Amino acid sequence: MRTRIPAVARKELLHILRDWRTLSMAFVLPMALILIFGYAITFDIRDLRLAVADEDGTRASRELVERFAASRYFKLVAKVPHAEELPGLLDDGTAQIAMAIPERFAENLERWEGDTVQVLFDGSESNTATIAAGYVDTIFAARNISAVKDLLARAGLPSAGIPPIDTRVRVWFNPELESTQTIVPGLVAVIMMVVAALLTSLTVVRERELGSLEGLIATPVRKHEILIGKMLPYLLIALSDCVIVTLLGVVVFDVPFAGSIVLFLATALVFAVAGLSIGLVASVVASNQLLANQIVVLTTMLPSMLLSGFLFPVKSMPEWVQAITYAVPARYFITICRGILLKAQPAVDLVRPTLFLILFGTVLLTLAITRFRKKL
Amino acid sequence: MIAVKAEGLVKRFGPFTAVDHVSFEVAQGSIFGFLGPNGAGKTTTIRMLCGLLAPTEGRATVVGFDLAREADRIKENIGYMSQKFSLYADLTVKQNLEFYAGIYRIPLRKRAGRIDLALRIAGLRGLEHRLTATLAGGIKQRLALGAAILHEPRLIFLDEPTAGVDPASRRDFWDLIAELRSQGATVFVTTHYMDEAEHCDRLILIYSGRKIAEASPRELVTNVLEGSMFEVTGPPPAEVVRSLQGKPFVKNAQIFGSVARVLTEDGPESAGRLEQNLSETGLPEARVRPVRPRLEDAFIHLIEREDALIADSGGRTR
Repeated sequence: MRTRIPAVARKELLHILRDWRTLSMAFVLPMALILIFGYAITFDIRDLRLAVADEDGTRASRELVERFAASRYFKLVAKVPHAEELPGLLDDGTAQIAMAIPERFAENLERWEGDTVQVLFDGSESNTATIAAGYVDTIFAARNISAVKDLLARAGLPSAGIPPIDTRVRVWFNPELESTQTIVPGLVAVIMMVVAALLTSLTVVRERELGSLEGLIATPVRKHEILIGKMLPYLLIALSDCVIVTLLGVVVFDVPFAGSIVLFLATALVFAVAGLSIGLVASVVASNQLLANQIVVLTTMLPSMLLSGFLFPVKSMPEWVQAITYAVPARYFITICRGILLKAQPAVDLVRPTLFLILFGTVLLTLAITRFRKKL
Repeated sequence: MIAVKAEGLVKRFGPFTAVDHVSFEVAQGSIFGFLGPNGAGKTTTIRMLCGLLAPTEGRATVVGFDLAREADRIKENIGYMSQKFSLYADLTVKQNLEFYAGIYRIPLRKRAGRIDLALRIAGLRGLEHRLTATLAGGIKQRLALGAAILHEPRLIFLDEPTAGVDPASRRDFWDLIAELRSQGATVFVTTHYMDEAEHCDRLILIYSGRKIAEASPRELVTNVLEGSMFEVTGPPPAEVVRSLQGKPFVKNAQIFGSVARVLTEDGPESAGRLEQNLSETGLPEARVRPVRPRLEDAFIHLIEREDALIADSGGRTR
């Protein structure tokens, strides 16, 4: 017998085309999200606010301060005469880092007696402080090495072997270590998941609230025909969203697209079915539209952001949290997105996450169909 | 041929019994009226018969199929028009019909013809591309009926099809129902408008979940109302009713607009007795004339009798 899926899909498409709220949720929301998150979420730290108390006031101390001010990581916001004034600047937030150069700094260095420079960090933002400490160490190390080289040169000794081991670090796939390069592919997955689930979350429960479901379930239409038919137009929208969001990532945030577009779209399709099915499950079990919306936000937004490896690597989570992440579909698509966009991974490397996504889609869609009751 | 056979249908919602052991048979090709005030259990019964609600107890066969086991076979052969408009307000008239044509899997080559027929029967030609939300109430109801008969069902359930519709449209709608019957369909219709009962071949009166009468409209009037019906004009009807209440020969007295309608035990000759009686109780200007009893009188009488029974038993446990 012929299926009724096309009839349901066609009707659903007509609803979407007549409803500007659905349309804007379908297209404006994802674009807004990628732009907002793309700009807002960055782990790269630039222009840290630096306050300096230069009690020495010599050429050597000024040169040290200059090394900081010249780097793009620090911005000199205050210069005070005494070290006692620095804590106040950290307290009121004027500075994130404070550096105290003691009196006789130049003199001690000149006589090779060594000296101490105190650097204070605002640890209330521990992530920033950790990264800043790394930058500070690097700048001091460079200063120390060049001092040793000067000394050797003055003694007529060769300085080419200083430092004895020179590490040459090369970062692959994201040479600048720009966090947007890893954030944006993850964002594509997060946005698709949230938008897909939101889109379908209202479809069934809205018909229940409006009363049109009563007419529909009095017909011989089968449950799977209703749900799959309703899903199809949204699948098209979810895929368009995926393309739009990825394109914005490439154009606006300079994210590379190294891998296969066909492979990307094929896996996105599988992922979209999983996301749309979550929305359908919510729509089928919820008694009203508001509840369906809340179920979807709770089950997709937070897990996709926090438990997917999007912001925090799964490997660094406690083991029991890692176990939970297996149940977060976004986790697999983030792996796939990063693999295709940044590394140009071939299909064979993406079989495992894709199989997981197929499993999720099948289980969730089956759940929606079985939980949907053709009764009032 | 029996279109619907219901045996002891019960539907409980928690402690509330909406339908209480209701049984009946609907003959193929008839207009079957399901009457009762709002909240009597009409919609619940119709929803059970359409497979939208599972009965708590009892069984039924609809168009020859068992309700509990063959709900989908039933759904293929019935048309259902719900009390609340259940088509899509944001689709046009034609899009709604096309959707239901697809749902009923009407073959493509027949589809245009069927939709056109439904448009003609429902009087919607020329409105095909109107947005359903912009249609008036009566036209919406005709569209709902058009959608329910697209697949030429043998049995059509209409739940309060004329509720909230103006009198002229109501009359048109009943003409439509009669036309469907003449084409061989069985029509199962609920209404709380007593005057509409005349259009039915057979009636059931349902009250607080129980069947309290079943008959043809003619039988109801003659069998239920033994005695004679009179209309009393002149004094305010409330005073007439008050002065006649408790009189042994008066079976029932009702205010009906600006007049009182009185049912007595004896024949039409008791008009004089009634007039004399009213005169003695201080209403000499009262004029009494015999009238033909109407269905509505029968229903009111039945419902009052049922209320009295419930009151006598100290309220039925339900």
